[in-house]
Amino acid sequence: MILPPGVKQGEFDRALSEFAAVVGRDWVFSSDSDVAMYDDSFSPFSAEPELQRHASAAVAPDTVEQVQSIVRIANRYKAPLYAISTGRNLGYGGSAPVYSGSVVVDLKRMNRILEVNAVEGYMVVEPGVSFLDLRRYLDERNLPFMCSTPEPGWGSPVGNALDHGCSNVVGDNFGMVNGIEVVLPNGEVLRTGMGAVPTSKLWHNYRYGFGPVIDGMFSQSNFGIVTKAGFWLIRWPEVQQSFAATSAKHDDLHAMVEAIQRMREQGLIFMSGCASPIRQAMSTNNGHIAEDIPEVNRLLARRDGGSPAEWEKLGAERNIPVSSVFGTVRGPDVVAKAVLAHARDVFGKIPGVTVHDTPAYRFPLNVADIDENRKSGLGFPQLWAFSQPAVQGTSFGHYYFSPMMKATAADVFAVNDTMRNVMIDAGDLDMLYHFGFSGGIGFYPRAYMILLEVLIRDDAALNRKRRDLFVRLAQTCGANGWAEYRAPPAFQDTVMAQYSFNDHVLRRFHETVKDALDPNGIIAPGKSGIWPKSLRKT
Amino acid sequence: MLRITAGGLPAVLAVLSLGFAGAARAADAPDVAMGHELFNKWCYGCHAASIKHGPDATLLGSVVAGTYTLQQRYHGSKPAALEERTDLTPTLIESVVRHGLNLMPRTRKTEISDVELAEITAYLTRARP
Repeated sequence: MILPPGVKQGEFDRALSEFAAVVGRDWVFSSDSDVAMYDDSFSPFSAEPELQRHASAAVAPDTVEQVQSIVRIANRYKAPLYAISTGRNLGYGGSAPVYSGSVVVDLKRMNRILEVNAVEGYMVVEPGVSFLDLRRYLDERNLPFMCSTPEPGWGSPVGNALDHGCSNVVGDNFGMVNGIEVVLPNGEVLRTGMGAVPTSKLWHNYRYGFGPVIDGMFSQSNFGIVTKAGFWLIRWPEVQQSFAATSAKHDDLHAMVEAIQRMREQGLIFMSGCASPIRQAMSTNNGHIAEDIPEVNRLLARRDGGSPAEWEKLGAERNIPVSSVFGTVRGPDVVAKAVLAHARDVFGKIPGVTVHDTPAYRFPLNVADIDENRKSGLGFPQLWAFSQPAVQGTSFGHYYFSPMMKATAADVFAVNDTMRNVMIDAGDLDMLYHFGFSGGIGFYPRAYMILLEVLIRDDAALNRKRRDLFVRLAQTCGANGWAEYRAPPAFQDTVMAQYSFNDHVLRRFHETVKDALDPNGIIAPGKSGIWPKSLRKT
Repeated sequence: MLRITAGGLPAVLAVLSLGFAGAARAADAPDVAMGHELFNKWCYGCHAASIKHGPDATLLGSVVAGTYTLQQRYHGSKPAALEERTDLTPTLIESVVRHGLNLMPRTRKTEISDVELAEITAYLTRARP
């Protein structure tokens, strides 16, 4: 057993006894074999056990009151806590704490779907509910709503949203949160927005309440333990349909991205993005090699990444577009048809651009008729996404480098060029070929992200090299204004360091709040690079 | 390769502890039907024999992680789909569930209790005609 730093064995034993008095002996886990189950299954340190972060114990409350008691006990013993929802945030730490020796507060038992309001279109859930649980609940009651599931579906709507997770159903999952309940570091329960009005029935209808809007302070943070959250739901549409526009010309991507983002801005589509299919033809970043075109890697390995004319020539030879964008519309059939007609009109004005419709999905869907890899985008959680690392032969999972950029072709090219040159500088052509080129992913309406998958191997030296590369990518992209939206615990300090305006005033603000709310520094020390005073490096 | 965890060598987790989810069910006579239901809830997503996919699906689009990995390991000498295996033992199942194997993550007792794990095991090791 490892101990929380600074806590003696006898004190820790007493703390565990007090936890057991609150939740029951069976819900405190302190044996080595039980605690090992909380290790990060996708740790970047998988091949270096001495560097892995471990819990000291775990405690699994069933009620908000039990969470309050646990927090109060932890304060008395100055034992750090680390709350998890379903603990399936693989690639972002899973069920392991950021700070070794923390006691994991495992909220999986708090798995109640407290309300689904089918008329007003919201739900209230506890952190232990998974997207798969939610789908089952909705189906059993014939409730016509989509699950805003990421890939994969065993994650928690609450945990995913709090970590700024995304889905192909709504994009920004935290954007759907309306009203949360939090146990503060002193054990008090706080409800945000209209939830602070004891008689209000609007907690999950109106987000702001009165005064500062503080919901976001409990996302990617360590200012409290969220015990329930309200979410706006997406009702089944009559139809959901995607379309793509493609061109053989490099320069067209600028006008095409501008056009697709204009449609997004107008609210005509809810999802958008762009790609350069010929540049991505050899990428394994999405799990498989689509083509066998050695010339692609030869161009990408060059400092200039290949000229537009070279890509256009190669694209023409292989009949693969150089530029493409996509959008997805959801709503009444007549609206979807009108939006698709509008898309054909808009892209028809760019000479040489072709619009391609994909089949329309009509709701209610028969899930048995849906291809597995299409399910999550239609609101049906599954675990298919794990085939991506599986087909690449890794036994230790993966994590992602994920910078944010403007939703413009210029930024997409610039970020790709920057990342490519960092990989060339690092002499890591294997990673460069794996990455290839990434288009912009439009989970957020006016920004794109890139997701570079880093596979974890049974090779400590290679994993170290990839971690070093990750840091160089984060620092170089950060210096150019493209910081990350989210990161595994091993890199959270690095990512937070990129948000350095005015001598890191944002981080210092977080620290001021942290010290005021949590003077003993017991809630998730180090989460998102926010350390309590006692653990801050000078 | 089994993952070696801080807790030492993967242990045989045969002790069925009352008090966890599912404890109301008899621990000494695991319910095979319940095990089937739990398998579908927790395991099927990665261990389905096959999945629905279009005629032009790539390798990635036509497999799930667990079945694909076992296919690569056994190359047909054993069934890739867990439900078709007849050689699984309680020791192996319990160890893999609790300690993970390959891409499969560890599964905590708050997710699958020991009683539930015994039911899944009973389903996967049930007598076949």
